[in-house]
Amino acid sequence: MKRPRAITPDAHYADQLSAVLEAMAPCESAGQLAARQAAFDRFMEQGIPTRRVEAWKYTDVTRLAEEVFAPAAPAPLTAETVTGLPLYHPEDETVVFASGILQPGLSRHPEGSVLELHPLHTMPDPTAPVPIHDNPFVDLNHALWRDGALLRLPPSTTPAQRIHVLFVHATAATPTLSHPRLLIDLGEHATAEIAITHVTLGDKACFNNATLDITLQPGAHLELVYTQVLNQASTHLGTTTITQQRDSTLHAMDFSAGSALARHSLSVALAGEGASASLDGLYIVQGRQHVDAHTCIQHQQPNGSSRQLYKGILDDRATAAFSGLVRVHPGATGTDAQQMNRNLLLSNDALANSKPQLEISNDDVRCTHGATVGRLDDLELFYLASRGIDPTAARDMLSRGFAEEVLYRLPDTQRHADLHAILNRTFEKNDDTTT
Amino acid sequence: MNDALANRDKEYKYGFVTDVETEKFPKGVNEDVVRAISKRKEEPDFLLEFRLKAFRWWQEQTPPHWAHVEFPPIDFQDIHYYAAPKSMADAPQSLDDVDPELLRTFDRLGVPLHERERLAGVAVDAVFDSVSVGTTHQDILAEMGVIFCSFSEAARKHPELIKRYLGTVVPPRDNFYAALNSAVFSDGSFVFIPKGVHCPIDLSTYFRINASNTGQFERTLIVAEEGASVSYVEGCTAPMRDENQLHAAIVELIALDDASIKYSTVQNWYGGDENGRGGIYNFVVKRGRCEGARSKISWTQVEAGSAITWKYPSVILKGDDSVGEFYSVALTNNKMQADTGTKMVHIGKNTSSTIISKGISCDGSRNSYRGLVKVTPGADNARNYSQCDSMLVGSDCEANTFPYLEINNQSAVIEHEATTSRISDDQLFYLQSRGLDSEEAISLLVNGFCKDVFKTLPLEFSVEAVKLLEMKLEDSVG
Amino acid sequence: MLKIRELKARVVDGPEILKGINLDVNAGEIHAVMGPNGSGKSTLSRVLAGHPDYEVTGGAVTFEINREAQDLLAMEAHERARAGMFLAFQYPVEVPGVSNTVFLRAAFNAICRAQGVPPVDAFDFRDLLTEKLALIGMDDSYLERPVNLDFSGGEKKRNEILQMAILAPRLAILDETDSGLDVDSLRIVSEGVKQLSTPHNATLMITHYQRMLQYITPDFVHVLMDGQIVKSGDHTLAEAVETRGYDWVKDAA
Repeated sequence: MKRPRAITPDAHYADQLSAVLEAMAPCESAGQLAARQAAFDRFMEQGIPTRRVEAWKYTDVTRLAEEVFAPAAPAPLTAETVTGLPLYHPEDETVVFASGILQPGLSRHPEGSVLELHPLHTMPDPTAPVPIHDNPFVDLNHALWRDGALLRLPPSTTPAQRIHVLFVHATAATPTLSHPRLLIDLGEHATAEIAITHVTLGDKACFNNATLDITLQPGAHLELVYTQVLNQASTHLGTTTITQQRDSTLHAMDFSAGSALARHSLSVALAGEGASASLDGLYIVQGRQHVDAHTCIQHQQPNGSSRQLYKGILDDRATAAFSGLVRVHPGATGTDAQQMNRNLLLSNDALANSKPQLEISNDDVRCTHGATVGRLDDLELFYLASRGIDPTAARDMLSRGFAEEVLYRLPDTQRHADLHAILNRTFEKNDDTTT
Repeated sequence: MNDALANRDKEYKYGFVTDVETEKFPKGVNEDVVRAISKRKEEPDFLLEFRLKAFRWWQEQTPPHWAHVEFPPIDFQDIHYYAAPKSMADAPQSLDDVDPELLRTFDRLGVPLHERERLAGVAVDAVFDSVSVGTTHQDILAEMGVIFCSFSEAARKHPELIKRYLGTVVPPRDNFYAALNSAVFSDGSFVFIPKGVHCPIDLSTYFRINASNTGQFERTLIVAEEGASVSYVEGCTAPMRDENQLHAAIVELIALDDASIKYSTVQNWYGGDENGRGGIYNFVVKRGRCEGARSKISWTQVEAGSAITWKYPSVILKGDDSVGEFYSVALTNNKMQADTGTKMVHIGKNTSSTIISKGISCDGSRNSYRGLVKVTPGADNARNYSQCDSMLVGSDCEANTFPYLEINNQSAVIEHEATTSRISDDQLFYLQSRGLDSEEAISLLVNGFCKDVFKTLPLEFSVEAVKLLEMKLEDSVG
Repeated sequence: MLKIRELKARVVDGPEILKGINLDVNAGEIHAVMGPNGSGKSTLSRVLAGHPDYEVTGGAVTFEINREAQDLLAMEAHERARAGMFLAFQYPVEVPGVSNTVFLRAAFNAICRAQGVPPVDAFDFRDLLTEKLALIGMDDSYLERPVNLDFSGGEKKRNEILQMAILAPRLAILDETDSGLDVDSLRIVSEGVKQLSTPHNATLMITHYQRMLQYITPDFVHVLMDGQIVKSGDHTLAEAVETRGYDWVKDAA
């Protein structure tokens, strides 16, 4: 008997839907409630994918079908706690969500800021979701989200401060489940630096199933830093969908260092002529962590360019998968696409999977991709040794250097320092376990 | 063989039908058909058992769909599973006794079989539908202990070797089409190179599909014992028909310690017309196992035909220090679809593999590379280098690259790279302005693109492979 | 300081390249080892630095540490560096992601600690770097660049000399440092080497031509052929080789 392609989710998901529909009835329109039900039906129809589904080939999420989660309730969160969180800077314009619920009291919205923040419940018709194949978790998010926001920048504006959206997930004895939902819309020629950070409080398990939809109107520019540093017991499934209109530009840093299981699916549609996207990714896994970096770039219009550099560092018995698809549609002449995935294995028990994919339907393109898996270079180690650096220190220095090559690409030196600090903690933690 | 490939007609030159009386089994497959095939070939009992087991498993399976190709469901009960010229029924003792019409067919294909004209440097096994017509140079080879004969003959004369090796690389339950082949395989070639023998001439099998509504299910098994080496070449053609015909073959290669097998394919099955009507479905399982230490298996393929090509010549690198290679040129034009590549599975220590794949897609065709490099936990110091380049000719075609890297050993060094390019008008103009005509210019560019693969082919084949590609490209460019 | 006796070595599992080398280097001396391609010059330098691709098949090498002769061959590559040995690579290695400052400071402090000298803080180290940068004609921007990455051939060689200036070895081995250098770089590098030479340290220059010897006059010249030193002499030997070629040495030997 062949294994099934999907498993029917546990009944508690239906209970959660009932609870959400009841809770939302006073504040949502009938249409919105119906949309939740429809999304939930799609989720149940698809079920939880098994590894037989190509998009989930390297990531096993079937336990999510059986495990029972309680809906996350926002734990009391203090300003002191928030200020101590990764990437927090007091001068930033900060939007805080506690277990998926917006916390206006903890957020910082400076006087005169050009950023508009719309709670999703008050939106007459939340932006229609882009259908995602092979990802029932987006439907689950659209059915069960408790709170969410649309961040909008009017045309030709640039906020005076960086924007930081902090998703704080409190954990409890019973594993909790939350469905953060965020929409970002940059108007024509608007420019912004936005960081999205997912972090846990406590060391118990939680499962957060986040969606993020971003639209860049013509000529807009976004500098995005997406950071996932959940505790080592948690599960993070993030689905980010970015649509770029004409001549818009995106630079994204996709950083993953936490979670027992993390999967970030980042899809970019270059839907307007001359749009360009540059994605940098860094994932670091240790112990028995698993990470899945899933990217998809759709070149739909002429003269678009995309560039991806994803690097992974794997230690202990950790596993990682990179799946990156570059799809060039028939009309996308003059496309320039590059993709590179490099993996560094620090342990003999680590497993790296890499699946860089090109689908090209236009002959006037320049597309390259590459993938490498290997250990530290012997010659580099000798070079360092010949300068008096001992093997342990040399290994550490070269591993950090491997990661730094990605972090260097962050133009904001403070953000660079933020991620660098997380990187250092990760390496130190690792040193503790090996010594 | 040279002329067979060096064909500059715009039309598919091998599209003719040989008018011979053919005996066909009734359409469809069931246990009786499987038994009848085995009986017709006078096989030992263990082979019948092998077939029946495979058939029973196959019946419970559904056809796979994961390849990036599209085709209507195949009605497996609408195919003749055995077809052979009646004249072959009394098993001619030598090539002299073979029906002259059949010999003329192979003449026309450029593979003369009779003594005075046959190619000196190559021994040929000629397979016509479900039977082998004859094998040349058998006497010379026998002197060295090399066995080269049709699979049917091997099953009768060397059952112990067949029993020992058949299905050990591609088990009948490997996949849907492997099971089907294992149940109904008709003919193919068997090669056995004993210990220490370097086969002095190239061995070659020429596959010809002639009968209509017929599937060809050949089976090839090549065994190189310790220190032995062989270079094997296969070629294939079929008539032009509006129907699609299924070709589901299995090739198994086994290399013991220090042995080396080089397997080259020039595949030019009929690919269908410009509207995608007709052509062969080429669903083939090719796999080699580097069983012994320091053994080497090298696949080279030039895939220029078939409506659909779906195959991954692979190497299991089991022996320490073993080497696997895959060199491929896949050209698709009209509405052809190809999903081809390789799997390199590193198991032994210090194993290395190289993958060079060149895909050329033209017209409205679809050309995909799919490959797997897997390094198992015990495979210390595994090395792989993969390069997969695509060339697009025209704006309606597709070129895809789907590599899979699964690396479970820290000491591995694995590198994959891929590029996409095209023959641009600017390039053509530049070359033309230096005095080359469009044909010469294309030839130069394609040659440059494919040279890393062509240089691995036996010399005469590389010349012909270039001509074959030029001919196919001529219609698509400019 | 360095005593090499009947040293034999090969690439791991390869044929023997060094077939019995004898050489003494004392403090304050500059030695040049010359030889045609394939004579084993670069092998000698790599074996002395402890390159993992090579194995020693015979002989002994001692290196004086605190006036005591130690078995050099028993030491790891980084231990040799900490004991005061420095190899300027013929092909300096690119180290992506690691900046020159981070790299040099780590090396400098490791060597200081090993030699019982207190490490310096980041500011003092910066001053030291700035001072030495001038020596090889490079500006500050160099410091934040990853080690050797996207450096030109000349920059890489100058970087080797900068490292030598900072790490202040007692024995510097320059492996074909003069190859692939334009005239300006050659002059800068040679001047740098000359300035770094003191009565307390020694230099072993490995070279094919005598380009660098026009700037630096060695005290001893050795001609290496087929894995052995076939002739030794003063600086005039280098000139003789230059004018008469290696065949002359072979015939004379």
